[in-house]
Amino acid sequence: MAGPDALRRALCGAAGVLLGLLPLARCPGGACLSCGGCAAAAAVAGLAGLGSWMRRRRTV
Amino acid sequence: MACAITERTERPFSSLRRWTIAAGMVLFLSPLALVPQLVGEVNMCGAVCPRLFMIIPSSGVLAGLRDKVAAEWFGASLVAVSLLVTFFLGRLWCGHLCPIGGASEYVSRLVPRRLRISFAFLAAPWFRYAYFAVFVAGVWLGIGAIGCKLCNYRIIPFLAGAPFVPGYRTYLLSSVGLAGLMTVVLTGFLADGGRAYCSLLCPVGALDGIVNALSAKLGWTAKTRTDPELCVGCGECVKACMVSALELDDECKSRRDQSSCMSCKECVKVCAHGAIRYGRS
Repeated sequence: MAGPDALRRALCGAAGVLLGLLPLARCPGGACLSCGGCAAAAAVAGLAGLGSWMRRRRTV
Repeated sequence: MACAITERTERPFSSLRRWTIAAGMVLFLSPLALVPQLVGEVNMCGAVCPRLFMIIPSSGVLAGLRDKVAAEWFGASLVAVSLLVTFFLGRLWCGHLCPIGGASEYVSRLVPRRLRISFAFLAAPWFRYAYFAVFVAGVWLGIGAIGCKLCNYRIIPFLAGAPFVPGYRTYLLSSVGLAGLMTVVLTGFLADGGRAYCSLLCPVGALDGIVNALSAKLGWTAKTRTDPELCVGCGECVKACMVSALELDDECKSRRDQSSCMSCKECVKVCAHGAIRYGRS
């Protein structure tokens, strides 16, 4: 949580809400369980990718 | 003033926490799952679930809470005791006993450091409470239920029991199971510190964090606290923290976010200057 600022906090809050809403998404696919989990998992993967990329740019 | 922090080494893992977390895993996870079996369950779902009772149903707060607590009575009791302990002694459940976060932490230590993912760039409290708000109020607001989707209290017990229970394997290979599994792998097993799920997505941790932060304002409660007078800004505590609850402020003093701190006390051990201690202020 280095260098917290208002914009970062607001973006993280928005990302939290978004991740909460993604499991509620509905896929029109027939075999799909319509759980929306794939969308949420994709969002988590995106966050993880961003974290991995930022880790390479920073010491800690 | 920019405060330099050297390359992070492996985080400390006290022998006390190794044993208490291992005990939690034996008590709650397959193959023994002793505690769930005591209350007539085989995993951490059903009566043992510590999360679903928090979801406000469309029938309203009070009526819903009564029904939910009746259905998930053990999980609700577990959370109530955990919050009580947190108020007086800090987040001992999260940091010392939780078999789910603990299992993630154990596995993450086996992952090579270059493969670990850091979530430290996130402002964790803002993310956590935004997600928590949707989790708690989604049904009530007519948005829908996150419920068991992405739940690591489901995925990790299912993983532990998968060698014994075919139904667990089937679930883990379904679309919702794979989505949850991916979430657990990325925010748990591969996360730097193994506790990103705990810090960002766990509803129990979110409640615990609120109680910890509020009770820390009372000087007579036992918490992990930093004495800024003694802090030299070496950053060792920041590197040791598994949930990024610590940072160095503009004056190179260690600053703690009590809503994220899990009272694991690893920072107390690494502070060579005696600036961090666990106890009353």
